[in-house]
Amino acid sequence: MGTGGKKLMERIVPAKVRELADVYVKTFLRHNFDRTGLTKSKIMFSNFLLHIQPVKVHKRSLEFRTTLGLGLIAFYLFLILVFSGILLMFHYVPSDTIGADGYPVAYQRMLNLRSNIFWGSFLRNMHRWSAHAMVLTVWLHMLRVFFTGAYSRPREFNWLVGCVLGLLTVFMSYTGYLLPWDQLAYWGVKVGTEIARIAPGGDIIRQFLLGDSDVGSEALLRFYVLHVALLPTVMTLLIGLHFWRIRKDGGLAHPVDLDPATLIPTEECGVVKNSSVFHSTRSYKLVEVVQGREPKVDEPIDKMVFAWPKLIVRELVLFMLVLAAVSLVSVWFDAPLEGPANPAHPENPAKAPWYFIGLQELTSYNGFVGGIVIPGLIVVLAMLVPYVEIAFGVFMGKQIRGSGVWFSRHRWPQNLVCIAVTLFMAYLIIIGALFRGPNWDFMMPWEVLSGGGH
Amino acid sequence: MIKDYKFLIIASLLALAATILAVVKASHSEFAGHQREYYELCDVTNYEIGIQQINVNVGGKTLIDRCTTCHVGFANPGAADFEPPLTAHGPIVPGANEDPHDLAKIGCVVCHDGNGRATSEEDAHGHFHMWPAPLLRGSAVQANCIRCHDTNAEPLAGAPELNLGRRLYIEKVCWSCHTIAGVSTGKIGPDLSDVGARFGMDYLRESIVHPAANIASSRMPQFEWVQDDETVTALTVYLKSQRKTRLKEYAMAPVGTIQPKLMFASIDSASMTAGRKIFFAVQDSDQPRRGGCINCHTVREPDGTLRGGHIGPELTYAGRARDATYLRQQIQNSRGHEPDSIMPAFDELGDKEVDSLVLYLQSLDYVAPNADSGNRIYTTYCASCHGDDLTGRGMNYRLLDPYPRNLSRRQFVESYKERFAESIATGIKGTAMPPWQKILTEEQIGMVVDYITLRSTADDEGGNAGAPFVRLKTALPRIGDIDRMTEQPVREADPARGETAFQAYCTGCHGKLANGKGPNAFTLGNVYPRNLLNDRFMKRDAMDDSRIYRSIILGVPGTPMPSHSHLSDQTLLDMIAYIRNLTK
Amino acid sequence: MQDEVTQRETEATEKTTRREFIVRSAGLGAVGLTCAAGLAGVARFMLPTVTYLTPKKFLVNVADLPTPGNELVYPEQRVIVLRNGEGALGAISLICTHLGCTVYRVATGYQCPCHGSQYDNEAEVVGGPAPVGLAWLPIKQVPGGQVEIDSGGRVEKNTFYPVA
Repeated sequence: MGTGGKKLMERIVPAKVRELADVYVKTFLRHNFDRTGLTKSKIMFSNFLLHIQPVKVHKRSLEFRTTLGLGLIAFYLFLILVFSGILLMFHYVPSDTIGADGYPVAYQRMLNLRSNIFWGSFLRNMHRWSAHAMVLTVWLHMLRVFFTGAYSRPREFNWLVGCVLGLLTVFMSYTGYLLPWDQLAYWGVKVGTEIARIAPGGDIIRQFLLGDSDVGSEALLRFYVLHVALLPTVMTLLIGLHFWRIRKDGGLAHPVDLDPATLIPTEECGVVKNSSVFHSTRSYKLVEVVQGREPKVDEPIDKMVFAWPKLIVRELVLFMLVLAAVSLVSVWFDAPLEGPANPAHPENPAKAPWYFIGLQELTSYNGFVGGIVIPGLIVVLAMLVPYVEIAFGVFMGKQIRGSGVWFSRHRWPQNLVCIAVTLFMAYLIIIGALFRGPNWDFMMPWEVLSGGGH
Repeated sequence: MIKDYKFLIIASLLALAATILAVVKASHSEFAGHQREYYELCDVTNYEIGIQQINVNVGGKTLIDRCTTCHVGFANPGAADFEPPLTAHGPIVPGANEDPHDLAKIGCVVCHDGNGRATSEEDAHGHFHMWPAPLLRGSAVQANCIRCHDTNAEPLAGAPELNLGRRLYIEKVCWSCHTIAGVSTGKIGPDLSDVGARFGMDYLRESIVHPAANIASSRMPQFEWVQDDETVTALTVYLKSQRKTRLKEYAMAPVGTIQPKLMFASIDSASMTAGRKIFFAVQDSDQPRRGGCINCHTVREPDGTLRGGHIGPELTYAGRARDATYLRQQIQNSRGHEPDSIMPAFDELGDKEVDSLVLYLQSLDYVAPNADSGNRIYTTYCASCHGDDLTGRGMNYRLLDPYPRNLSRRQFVESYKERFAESIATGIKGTAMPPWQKILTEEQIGMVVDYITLRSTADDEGGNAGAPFVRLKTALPRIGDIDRMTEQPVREADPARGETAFQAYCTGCHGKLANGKGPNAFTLGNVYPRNLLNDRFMKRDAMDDSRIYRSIILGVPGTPMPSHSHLSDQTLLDMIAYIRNLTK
Repeated sequence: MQDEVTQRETEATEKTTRREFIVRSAGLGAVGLTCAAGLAGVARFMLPTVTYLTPKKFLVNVADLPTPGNELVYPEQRVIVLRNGEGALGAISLICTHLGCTVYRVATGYQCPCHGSQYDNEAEVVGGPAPVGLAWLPIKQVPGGQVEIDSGGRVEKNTFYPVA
């Protein structure tokens, strides 16, 4: 609160009341809002929601070009998804029982969302578009991390966690895809699970997933539980771990700048002995005792800024922007809803959701190589890159440099491979999504199909 | 820092604007305008705008019907003059004083389909992609009477189109090919028990008028009698009414439904008159009659009038040409005689009914007057299949398999005319060609053969008339003879080698399975490759090895079958052995 | 060096101008407004717009109403419809005001089977634990020769509505 506001308060509100109010407020806000370093620190570490972030961050972390805000956007989309998802659960029943009008119950619920429920369409659109956006953002985030070399030691484990989170995001989106129980959902999931069948042991995985020999009521129930309970819980925990590791691994990756002149002389804070397994030499405990001083060692002092309010406000700005974008898209574009699921009447072409369409395109050439070998290789390679680099360092006695810099020339082989793989995947997805017509024949996106059917 | 807060203001206002936009868009409803207009027309000032919902109780389940949200005046007789959607719904049973249907209880979806949950027009009327039950209007609504009334078992007053469709389904013998649960058990065409639930009116109409429009491989004839609008509409409505789940049966047994089986008129004893009734599907009681041969076959009444459809061969002479056993078998399972026939097996008919039909066929005694010239005899007896112009395209040719022989090719007639007399007299087994010896005298047959020979030569304007055919040594080689090509002695025929050769040289037309349906078969005009699996045909006495040998090595003149004189005698013998094996 | 830092921060602290305060409040206010608008929308999302149960408001054809001086019970809606001598229409809810049992009609008025609450013919409490009398219901004439009875409402006792 500013000084102006304070003066006004003093004039209107009696002193005793102000005192009491202060005590009450202090029960949940255990700090003031003045601008001393201590307060700024306290705001961060005494607040449950904020304390996962560091008290001070490198100036570079605040700049947009460092991260492009992608990780944060993905996290915000996750929040929006959880929020809208919980609301949608109030109006959803995971059942394919045929109702009196001949439509499955789950599908009837979609019709309800579209017709009589205020904001039913809007929240469903929001959930749908956010889900797609999250898959895309997570992918871009991973590319950002890769191209800035931020995956390499000491952040290799967090990269692994991130990869798992990425896979979970896709799986999450995929399990949600089935729930509307329309033709799109049914055949999309059907095609997707058929791909799983190609893998050795894939049939067992498929049975775990579907709870039956085919997509049906059991699959709907399992996908529902996975989608609303199991996966979100696992993801929330892993996101916590992911964020925590960012701090423990020394914040965002940035180029090494160890100019001694810019560092706090160690004698001023005593010798900080790093006995932990982590590589950062920040000593968090000092925060509690040092007054009016940055609890920092081993960092260029004039490049660090307090997280409150600079970082927090920028994060809030980004959140509002994401919310605005998702809302606007959801106002104007309706999430697709086809006719009710009909196992006897396949769509042609039956397409998997877009993030699996690359796989579907690959399997159309060769089931085993396209469905298992290539995607498996890409995922495993991506996860192991930092570990390979470490091994390379140990055996060759040479650390690969260039962490924290976009497209560092020290990393050109990795970046080249990554660009190639990315372009390949994007190409497959574009071909599969836009250029494939009935019978998986090649066709131009603007060619209009003359449908038989109804 | 202050810049960041300014950004925050902009971002938040953007989000706020988006949220407000979402609220505004969600608050806008089509129905509010309709309701306001309705109440103003009714001079009501104290009203609330809101979604109206009828919960139709359907034996334990609830059918949601929100149509009255827009169709506010549907049950208000005072709203009869209002514009749609506010107008009142007239009585459901036309002309009835008291309508047993309570509109306020059954709502709209039960009869009209569409999407009962929707609250906007486009959505509610099912005008969006792949909606399985778009709105039914006009007479099409009768299709939904079956949801509560058993219209398959008996006609329903007030549903004229549906009743007509039901009658046509029986009279026009649709039942012989199609199954409708409780009505018919035909197995040749698709099961129609649930078509109404799966397809829309347009699709059904199209499938009736142009069977191949939606299923390219359909073998259903394009019936001539379905071309007028009344008939098509009635049949479409009847098919649209076929759905497995009905509202009345929701409290039903766990395994499907047991529907009352449709009762057909039965006869007490076999007689010619009963046979005629069955043949013409004459109805003389409330119960429909199985039969209706007349829909596909033509017959000439004793007075000479020709009646019937052009899907099967003419039957005027069948009773005289064939014996009773043959006719009986043909009715009950026509594929026993002609493996490629499309005629349904009428095994549902009882013995008495079949006997009556045979009696009726035998009673047909039309004799062509003045059958004293080849031309007249041909026109009377042969033209309905072989065509007036000898091309093998008479009015009944289209669904015969194999096709009637094209007799207009001079090369063919020249090559085979010595066989004609016998073929006419004894018929050709495995095809629709009947034996004529009981109807035509030897002299008359001779006249026909002469007529064909004359006509084909006269009509053929190819400049090579009279050019001699190159005849190779065409005697069937025996084991030990010297091979024409390899000059080695001919060995024992080996069907395995024959198969290899067949697959190499013959499958383009005769097909891999030798069923005459190779990839090139249907580009060959109206002489299709022979189905070598037709055992009745292949086991005829006339079809000896030397005839097969000559047909391959010389080809069949006047048809697309070319000469294969480049093959060695050994290969030909192997091939013949293989072909013989196919019909063992 | 330490002093320098302190100095810098003290300056920053004192520099909170009125303008800065306004901008900051506006920013946080806008965030709050957005949240409020969103929550309002969510609240409407949660509010039911239709009922899948027996509707509180139900329609009766005027032709099907009891004749003047008579009465008729609608058991599904738990309502009794009364027609007075002049033909005006009243309706009483048959839901006991004590704990919601369905009361039944007796010669002296209404009797609750659960805890013995008694009401007179005008639905006023005359005995038992019931706190207030049975609800008289609002009735509205709607187009199409029908009346709409709102079994969820409550009006003054002895409210009769003229029926056209």
